[in-house]
Amino acid sequence: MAHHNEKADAGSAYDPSAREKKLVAYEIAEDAKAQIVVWAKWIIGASLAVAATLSIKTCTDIQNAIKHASDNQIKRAQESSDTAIARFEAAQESELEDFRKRSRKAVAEFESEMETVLNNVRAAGEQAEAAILSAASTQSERDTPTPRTVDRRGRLRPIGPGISISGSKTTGATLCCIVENAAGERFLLSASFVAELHATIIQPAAVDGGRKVTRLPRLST
Amino acid sequence: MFTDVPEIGSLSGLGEATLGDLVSKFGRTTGLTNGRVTAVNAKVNVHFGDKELSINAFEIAGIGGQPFFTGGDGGAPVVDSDRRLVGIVFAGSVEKSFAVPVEPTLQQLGLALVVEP
Repeated sequence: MAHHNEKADAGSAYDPSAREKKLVAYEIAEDAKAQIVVWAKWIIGASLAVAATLSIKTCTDIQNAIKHASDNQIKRAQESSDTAIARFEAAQESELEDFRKRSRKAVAEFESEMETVLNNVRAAGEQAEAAILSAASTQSERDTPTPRTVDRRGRLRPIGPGISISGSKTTGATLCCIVENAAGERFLLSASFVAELHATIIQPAAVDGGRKVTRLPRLST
Repeated sequence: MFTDVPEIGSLSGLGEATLGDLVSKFGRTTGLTNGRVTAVNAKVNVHFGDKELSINAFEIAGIGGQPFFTGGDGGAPVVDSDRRLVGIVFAGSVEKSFAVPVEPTLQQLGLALVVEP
């Protein structure tokens, strides 16, 4: 461009042709155009830079805003979840306590009921035992007449266990019982010293005032 | 009834005396006495005049501060708590009395208890 200007200045010294004038005008126009393009480039570049800066800032702002908002959200969410957890735990603890109370009560009721049942069973058992004993004693009373009382040194007919006997030459002794053999023969059973072999047996014993009544044919012991 | 023991009742049958059993007897001299079996299968030597017999017996200690046996009670029935005839008492002292088991004796002799007169 400087070159063109020098030429133009130099041209003033001489009368340039119309063609040259056109050329100069063209060159000036071209220069102006180029200048405008440069300016435009600058303007656009600057605008772009501004816009970029603005956009970067905006982006950061937005990021910050989002971050802030999300932090807030997270914080709130954390807080509300903490509260919820605390509430849940409290509720659970209270439920658990209720449950414990209820189960303690149920256990106590069950134990009390069992105690009652056991007592009833015990009472019923005692009653049954008493009834059985009473029935058995009644039965036994029916089965066994009251043992008889006898004058054990007196005369007793028919004769029986535990009464006074003797041989004709021996002192008083006691009859054990009456026994029989396969043939149906009956004998008096006592101790061997009660009478001599084949002696006559006396009831009551001679010492108790007895007289001869029967014989003991064979001594058992 | 031939089995009616005075103050004890009717004999329920035959039995065997075992150590520690409570037994009773009814005899001519002392009537009803109670004792406990303190030995079984004891060999007891008994003198009868010039004879000496070795008898298999069981031993009874009187309870209730009373001797189980006194002279004149010899031959008396010894009965267990179920009124089974377990022995015939034949000798004794204040502390200890002796009875022969009745069941083996009857078996040996082929004899059985008579119940009805």
